[in-house]
Amino acid sequence: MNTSNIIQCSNLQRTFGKTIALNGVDLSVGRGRIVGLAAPNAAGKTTLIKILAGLLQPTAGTALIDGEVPGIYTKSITAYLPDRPSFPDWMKVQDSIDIYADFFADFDSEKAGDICRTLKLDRSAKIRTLSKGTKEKLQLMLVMSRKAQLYLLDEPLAGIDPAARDFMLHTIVAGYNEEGTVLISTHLITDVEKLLDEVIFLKEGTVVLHRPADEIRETDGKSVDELFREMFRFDV
Amino acid sequence: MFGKLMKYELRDCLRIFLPLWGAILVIALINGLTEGIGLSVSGRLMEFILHILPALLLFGLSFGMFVIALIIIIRRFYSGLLGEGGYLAFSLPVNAAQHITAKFFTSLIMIAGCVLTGFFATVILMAARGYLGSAREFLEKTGKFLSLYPKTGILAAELVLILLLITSYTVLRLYSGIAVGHLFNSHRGLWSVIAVIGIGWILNTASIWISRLFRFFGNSPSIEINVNSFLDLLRYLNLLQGVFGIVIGFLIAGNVVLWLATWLILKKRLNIL
Repeated sequence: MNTSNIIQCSNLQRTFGKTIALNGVDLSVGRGRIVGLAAPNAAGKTTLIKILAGLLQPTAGTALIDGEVPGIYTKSITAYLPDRPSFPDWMKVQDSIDIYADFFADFDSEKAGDICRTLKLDRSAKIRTLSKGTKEKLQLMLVMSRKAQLYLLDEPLAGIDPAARDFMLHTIVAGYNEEGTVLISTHLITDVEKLLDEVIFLKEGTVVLHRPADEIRETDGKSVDELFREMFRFDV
Repeated sequence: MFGKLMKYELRDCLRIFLPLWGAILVIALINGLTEGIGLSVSGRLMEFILHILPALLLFGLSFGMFVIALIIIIRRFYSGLLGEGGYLAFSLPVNAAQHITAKFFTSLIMIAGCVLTGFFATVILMAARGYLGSAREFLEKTGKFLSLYPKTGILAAELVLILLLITSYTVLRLYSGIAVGHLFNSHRGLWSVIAVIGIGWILNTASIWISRLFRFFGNSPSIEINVNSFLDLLRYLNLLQGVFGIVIGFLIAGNVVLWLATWLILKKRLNIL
């Protein structure tokens, strides 16, 4: 498949008991774009990403990646970075690289090796011995070493110190497949703003804005961060 | 992809089980040797160290081995697939059926490994204590007796199959219960326990009703067991073979139902939180 939109959601809904996480999301995202998914906490960012990654089933509506519902095919073209460490602690760094090399045909072992050297990651080190930040870097390194058609990055900068954020952003920009699309969920918009082609704002499980980042700056005369703060300001 | 999944599943489990199996076999050997070499000991402490302590260790480890197997089977499905581990597992290009099957086969292999370890530990103990000859004699006598009944092989095969199916039924009942529990957004552990108990009750009730229906439509006579001669015994062995067949049928149906239930939940209602 090679549809014009890599992501296509229509009337996507997801509830957790009485809590509505996604409330009829309609969304189309094209190829070769870096898209920021910004929202306050508990607005449905992670839920949306998990549905696209195939970790959650929607309550209603559809989510398609390259025209297909999440499944074996979509997972083979999607590189997903969860918002938490996903490798078992007993594994070594090399084991995590081996898993990616075994299961993903688009994984570039050489690139992973280069990033490992830059990060000074000891491949024989147990994952449990790594700091939280290094674990996150390791996961990002694995995800960005794939030549995927879609990168789903859930809060890649949360819990990372400002110096390391630059490294993470550099890894994303230098590593992604330019024909692919990167969907970055974050509320640290200032850090990612300069990378973004498009911005999606979610509010209470609904898409309230989906525009090119340049258009916001040119038409509204505001940065994306300023617009975000304006739209989601708490009235005290 | 299934082969790769099995490779990682087995490696993960063997890293826990291989040292455990090794320890049990070594302790069995030590235990057997300390009993078998006829070392004359005196003093309660020496008696305890040479005879009682290794035996206690062996018993404890053997019991612990099955408890650990049970805990690992539950943990690998509960947190390794439907908990934190699901973030990695379900981002791989592998479907739910392959995940369940890989976990299921790995569990059966580990249980078989535990049973074999127990068997070999017993053989080592008996060999070291010089009981192997008596055991062989007993087995030969039993074999001669059973060879009088021409279908012993079938009966034994049915019995082994029943044991295997009961083991797989237990594993799949745990899996399906955990799968039901994972549908809840909180207290998943509690809901899983309730589901495991509930599923067992539902399947038991269903099997009772199905057997009642068979009896109703088949109008089967009640059976009185009365063994006065060897011929009577053979007749009942024939009957036992039929009963085993029915039990196997029920167990296969139960296994299929539990596998399908687990698969459908993971395919249609996956809920990794």
